[in-house]
Amino acid sequence: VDAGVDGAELEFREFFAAEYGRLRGLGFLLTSDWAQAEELAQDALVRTYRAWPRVRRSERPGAYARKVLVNRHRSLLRRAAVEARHLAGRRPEEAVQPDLGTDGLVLWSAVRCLPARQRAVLVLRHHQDLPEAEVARLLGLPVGTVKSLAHRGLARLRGELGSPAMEESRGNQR
Amino acid sequence: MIEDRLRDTLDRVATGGPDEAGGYDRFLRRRARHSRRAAAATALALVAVLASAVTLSHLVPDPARPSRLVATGQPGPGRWQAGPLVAVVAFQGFEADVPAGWEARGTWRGIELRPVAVERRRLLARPVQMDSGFLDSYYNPAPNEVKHPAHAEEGLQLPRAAGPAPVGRQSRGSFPGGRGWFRADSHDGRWRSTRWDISWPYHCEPRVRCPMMVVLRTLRVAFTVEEGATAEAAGPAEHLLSSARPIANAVAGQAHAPPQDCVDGRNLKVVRGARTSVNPGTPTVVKFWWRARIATLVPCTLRGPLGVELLDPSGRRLDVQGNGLALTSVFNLPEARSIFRGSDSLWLELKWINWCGGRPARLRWIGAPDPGRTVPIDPPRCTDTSKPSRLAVERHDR
Repeated sequence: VDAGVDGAELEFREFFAAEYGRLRGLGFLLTSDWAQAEELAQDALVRTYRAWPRVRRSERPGAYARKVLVNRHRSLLRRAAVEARHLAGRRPEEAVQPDLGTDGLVLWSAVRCLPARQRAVLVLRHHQDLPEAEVARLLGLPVGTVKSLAHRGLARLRGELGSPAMEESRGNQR
Repeated sequence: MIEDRLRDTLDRVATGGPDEAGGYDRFLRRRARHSRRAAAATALALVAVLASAVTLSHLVPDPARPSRLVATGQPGPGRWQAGPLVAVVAFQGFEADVPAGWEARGTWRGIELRPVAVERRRLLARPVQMDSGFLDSYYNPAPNEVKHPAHAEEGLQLPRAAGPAPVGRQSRGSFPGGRGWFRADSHDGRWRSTRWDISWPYHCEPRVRCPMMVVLRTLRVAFTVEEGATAEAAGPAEHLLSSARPIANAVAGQAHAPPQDCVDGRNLKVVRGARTSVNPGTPTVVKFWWRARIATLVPCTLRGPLGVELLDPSGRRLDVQGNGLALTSVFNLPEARSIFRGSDSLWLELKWINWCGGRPARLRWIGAPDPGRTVPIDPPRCTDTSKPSRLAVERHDR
């Protein structure tokens, strides 16, 4: 134990170690950019730290940090024009690519091509395992809209997986 | 299924990023930057406020208005504020004057007070509590009101002699103005406890049928002090009670404060359980249920999640449709109708059927105070191998 570090600080360090990777992963799923994901995760954690005396007493401090991250991402989307200028000339992160297999690559490419809200709904619903009502609350949307976005997003992904390009890709693998 | 493939792909993508090394150092640097920025902004704001104050002090005479402590009933205790001040506790329907020499802070159920001077603070076993609640009919200063004909059908639900027999000394009286008070004094070793109750009104919001329980509402001040120091706390306690004024839900026609969040073990009692068929052998259906009941008079908002996760002995989630199902809806629980039973509760039931996988299984209650704990559960019988095992909402009453 570090001298001069109080219990809350130590608790936050443990919280950081447990959540940092998860938040960064969520950020990447929402942005396809590890640098932006890192920005979102760091920002969410700094804001969580500032509210830590209150947040540490709650049942799910991780959910608080996730909410901050999703809100920040929504703000970035609202400032899409500014971001677009900022990101002009930059390409999404390609350097680190996990082994996804053919299906996985096609699926991930399809996810990246989804409109931002559809993508956010699918990520929160199927990666974070959040119920529709919670997704709706996080994204500030009616539950009906979340259901509709999830339905349309999944339909589009199904379409991509069954597309001729996919079949051809599978054929090449065989 | 596309959902499973998507989940698997997203998991791989999210965990396949570059090395996380140095993340905490970058966080510390960013935090320091934020702190510097915040300090600069605060300094600027302070300068602006001081400049405004100086300007205003020349323009406006001092109104001599006491400062205010606004308690909202949030779960954690608030910041201590020194008197004299007005404590405003809208969710409990009162405001009261905190005398000089005492400081107060908001709590989840009202306010608490202690002397500013540390040496006087030691005389108190704990801070003086002020909140509202029910007075057991043993002590009820207005017993005739409970026979109001408009509530005749609720008569049997009233808490007649529900609490323990009174201990210590009880006395009654009235403040100037007519408001009745009840006082109970008891002692335990060197500590002496005193509780004051004064009958306090409660008015439901328009179009809400008000339960009879509201006639038992009292405003309470309670303290425990060292023997011989009762007068130390009695003076401020009487001051609080005599200065208390009804507001919000204690005044007909006034808007209520936003409801508090329901917190299990505080203003809410949650009972969870799992049950199977009473017949011997493997059950066909396993049910999981919750009963949440408001534990105070004042309405509260129950936020989820309430749900279950079914796991194998190694902690992996079982392949059950709806596994991890959790309701996150918001339920507004109304005024307590009875301290025994009532329509003031939420009943939620999930059922699990057709499990053809391995045994035994374990269960984790989602939203429980100890979210990491799992308990063994006997899964339901395999009724059809061609159909999936399912977890679904069976009953949901509010």
